[in-house]
Amino acid sequence: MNRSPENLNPTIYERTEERSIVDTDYDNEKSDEFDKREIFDLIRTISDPEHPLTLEELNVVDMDGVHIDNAQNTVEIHFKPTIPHCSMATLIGLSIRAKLLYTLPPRFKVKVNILDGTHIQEHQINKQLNDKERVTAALENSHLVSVVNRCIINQDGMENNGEDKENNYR
Amino acid sequence: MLVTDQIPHKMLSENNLLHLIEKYVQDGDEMISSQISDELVRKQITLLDFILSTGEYLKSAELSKRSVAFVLISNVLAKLPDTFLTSIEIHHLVQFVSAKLFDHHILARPSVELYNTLSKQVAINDEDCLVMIKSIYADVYVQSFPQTNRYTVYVILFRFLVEKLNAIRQHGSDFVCNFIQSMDGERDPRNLVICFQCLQYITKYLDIEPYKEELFDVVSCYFPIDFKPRSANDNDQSVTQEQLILSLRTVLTSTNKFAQYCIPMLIEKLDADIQSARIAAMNVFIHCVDTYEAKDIEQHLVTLWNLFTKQALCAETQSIESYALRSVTALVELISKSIQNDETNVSTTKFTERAIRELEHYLKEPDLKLIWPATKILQCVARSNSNSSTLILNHVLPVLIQQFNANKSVSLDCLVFFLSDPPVITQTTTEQLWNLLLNNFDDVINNCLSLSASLLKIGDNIKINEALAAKLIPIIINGIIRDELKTNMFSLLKTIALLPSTNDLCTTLLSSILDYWTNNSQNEKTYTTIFSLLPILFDDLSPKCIDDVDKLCQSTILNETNWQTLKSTSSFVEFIPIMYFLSHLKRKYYAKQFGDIYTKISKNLVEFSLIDNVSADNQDVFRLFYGNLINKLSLNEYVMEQSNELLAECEQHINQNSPSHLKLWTIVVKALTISRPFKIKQYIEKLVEWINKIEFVDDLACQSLKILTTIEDESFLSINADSIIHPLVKQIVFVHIVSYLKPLLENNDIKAGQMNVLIDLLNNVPKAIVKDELKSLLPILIRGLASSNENVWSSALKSLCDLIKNEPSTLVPYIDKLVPRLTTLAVYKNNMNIRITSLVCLKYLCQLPFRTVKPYHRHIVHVLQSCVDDHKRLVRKQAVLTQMAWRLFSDEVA
Repeated sequence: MNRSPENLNPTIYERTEERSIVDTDYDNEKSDEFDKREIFDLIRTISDPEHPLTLEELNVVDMDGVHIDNAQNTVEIHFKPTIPHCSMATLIGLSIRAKLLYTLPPRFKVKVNILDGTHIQEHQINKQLNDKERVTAALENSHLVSVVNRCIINQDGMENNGEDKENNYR
Repeated sequence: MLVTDQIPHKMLSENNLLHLIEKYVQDGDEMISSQISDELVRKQITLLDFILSTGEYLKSAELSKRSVAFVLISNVLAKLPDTFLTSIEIHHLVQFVSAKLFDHHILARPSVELYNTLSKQVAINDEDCLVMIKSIYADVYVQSFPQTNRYTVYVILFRFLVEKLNAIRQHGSDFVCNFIQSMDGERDPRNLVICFQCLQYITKYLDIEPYKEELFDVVSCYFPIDFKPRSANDNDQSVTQEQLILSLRTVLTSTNKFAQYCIPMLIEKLDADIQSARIAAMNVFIHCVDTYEAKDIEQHLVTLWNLFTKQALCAETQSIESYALRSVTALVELISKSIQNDETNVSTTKFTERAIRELEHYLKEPDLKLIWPATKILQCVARSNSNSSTLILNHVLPVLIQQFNANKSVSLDCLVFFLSDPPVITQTTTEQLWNLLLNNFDDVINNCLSLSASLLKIGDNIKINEALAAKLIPIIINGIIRDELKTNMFSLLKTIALLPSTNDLCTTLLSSILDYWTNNSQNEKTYTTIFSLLPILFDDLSPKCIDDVDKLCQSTILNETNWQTLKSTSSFVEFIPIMYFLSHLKRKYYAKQFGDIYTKISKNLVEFSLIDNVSADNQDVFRLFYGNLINKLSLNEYVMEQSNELLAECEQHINQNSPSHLKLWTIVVKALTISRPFKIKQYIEKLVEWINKIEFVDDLACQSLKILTTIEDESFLSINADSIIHPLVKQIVFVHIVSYLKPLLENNDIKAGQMNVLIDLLNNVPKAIVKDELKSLLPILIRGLASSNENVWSSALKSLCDLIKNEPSTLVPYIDKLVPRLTTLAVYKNNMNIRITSLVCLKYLCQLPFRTVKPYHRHIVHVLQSCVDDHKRLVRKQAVLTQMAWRLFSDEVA
């Protein structure tokens, strides 16, 4: 992590606004299904390992790359690295996996893939990311866990804001 | 001390004085200098004797003795009053010291202290000042001194600058040059503050022309200030960063002679990457306006404009933006200081045109990304002078109107922003805006409300009154005004009520609302909105409306026959809205009416609030209206007497088990105590006594306690209804109730109802007051979580949540009860708010040390796994936050 970033000058995209809350959100009788936006909210705040920016701001993940099927209990994420030879792609994929592993109900089967044609080694990386045992092994490596945690921890500030807002609504 | 005791005062002979001095030279005992100065003041010895007695040491071959003698003189004189020395004595002393300054550098420090003492003396004359200044500048190398002595030098110079300016002027601009030399290289913030203060006087009163560049250099090297005090508990002498910044800024902006150097420096800093440097530069620029002239910035005008707009357009933080905008205004103000005619180079017209040219395309861009910053900058330019204002408004408003279709609410917001300080705009533009607004009213109601308020303030509105009324009336009488509309609606109605040009509109609104209410069947919600809005309209039109109100009262509630029919028909449709309406009128206009109503119908009100064939809700309205009246009339002794009688009567009935009397009692007590909360004590005693004594009272009394402590939601006894409310009522009531219930808590015989009231109460009272009590109430809160009443859970959780967030350690003893309860409530099906708050509490538990929560860790993580699959999205959102907090918490520990 000590070397300089590979993509020195990435294009920065605007953040999506916080999801607006509608009246039915407060109706305990209605049930809200998981939707694209909710999954996207979980991963968009993950920060990039190289830049002090979120994956959303770098356009590594976007709403179109999120697929969810509530009936089949599957979630599939396609992300696109900022440059085709990005060496951080595996780490980014692992962070997305880890975040979803920690925050989605266990009933969901999660797939994380690189979007077709956006990375030179996409096939290899996809295989790594979707190999359950290799992911589990990676998340048992304490060094790797601390790097991954750093990526998913940075969002804290943002999430706290959200929480405060929510308290105000109530 | 021994020496002092041995020598009786009157006998301080020459020998004794010598003895004392010898003692001082040997021991350095400060008591001796005090004693000698005492003797000098009491005239037991003369100054001459004292100085002569030290002669032996002053002339001593040993440097240390000379120095000590000098210190003694300095210390003795420092303890004398400011008026003690005569000008001749001062003169000789000054001559003496200035001669001594040559002697040896060791003597320089006590000499400076002595100068300081002498400079304080009232009798000092100008010549001696001059000698002192010259000798300091000539023989003292200030920067070689320690901090305190340097400080003394600056204090002396500052004192002369303030008090002996004429003497310093004789010294000419050499004073400036020497001052620059003496402060050059100063590093101590305490000294810098006083140096800068000196410089403020120097730039203001002395001729700095020959040395202005040097002077600027010596000051500007400190800009921007990045000093940070080492710690908060430094002693009082330490200075703050703000003090330094302020004093430096005042020097830089004190004269426009600095402009030619200062502006380039500011430009350099504005280009810097460091945010604080840019803010500091803008801050200085904003304050330049008073002293600098337009010609000073002429050649830098474009550079400055570019830099400021860049800051404002791409501001990283709010403070950068606000400074940049203020700088823009300052820049234009500075330009407008020059005389404006066709020949001026720095003309506001040209400048404003440039601003419009450069920013206009941001307003036209389809994605409107920079429309807000651009609008703000233009408004700042417009704000600075009327010429720019006219130019910009004539140019920009049409552009914004064109933009309307691209993004309705943004362009309306921008329009409102421009119209916020009423400007002068042309009739056509106003009409155009009105048309735009009325045509699109229903799409963007909220923006239209605020825009109408701005437009109404601008000008003649007779034509649009009806059209606007037609738009507003449906919103008002539809009953519920949505929360997000409320603020703008209220401010619009206020504007309508205040402006003379909208009298017609106001009357139209009033009459249609009144019509509506008499012709339609109403529900409670309509009442509250309508009747909280009506008084706003009525208030400012009061001289016209008093008659209307009178008429209304006469025909309805003041008519005794109406009451008679009411008894038989029990049809309250007409009465209830009128009571709502009257109760919301303001005291200052309708005091007389309130008095009349009270005298005529108070008996009826009491009667109707007690008789059985009136429904409970309507009984409430009668009671509350009665409460509203006595609250508003609580300065009237007769009314007070009557209410106390009524209370006594109620108390008798309550003892004979009458719930409706208890309700009436509660409202009357509340009406009285919100204006005079200290009275609450006796009533609470009574309530608690009933709770213990009378069966039926238990629950009702608890409800009464609750009514007494909630102030906002009661529409009849609230600020909206213009009730008299003591500003500290909540605090006082809370303190009384807690102090009364506490003993019960400690004896552990508090009843469920009381506990509920208490917990509910905690949420009604400002947090600052509750904070101290919370800890002692913690056991109750935890018991409350297990109470059978669901409402208590949510209030207990809220209080607990605050407590866990701020002082997690207080919960450690209760953790074994708390965690299981929180995890149960986190999956409590019936109420999502309870689930969310429990999850928040669980999240804050991560702040505790790991060993404390370790036994529960697995359980909590397990529960959270089901929470992230909750059927409500908002719950899941909080569950994810909590889940992540716990995950990272355990990873960290691992």
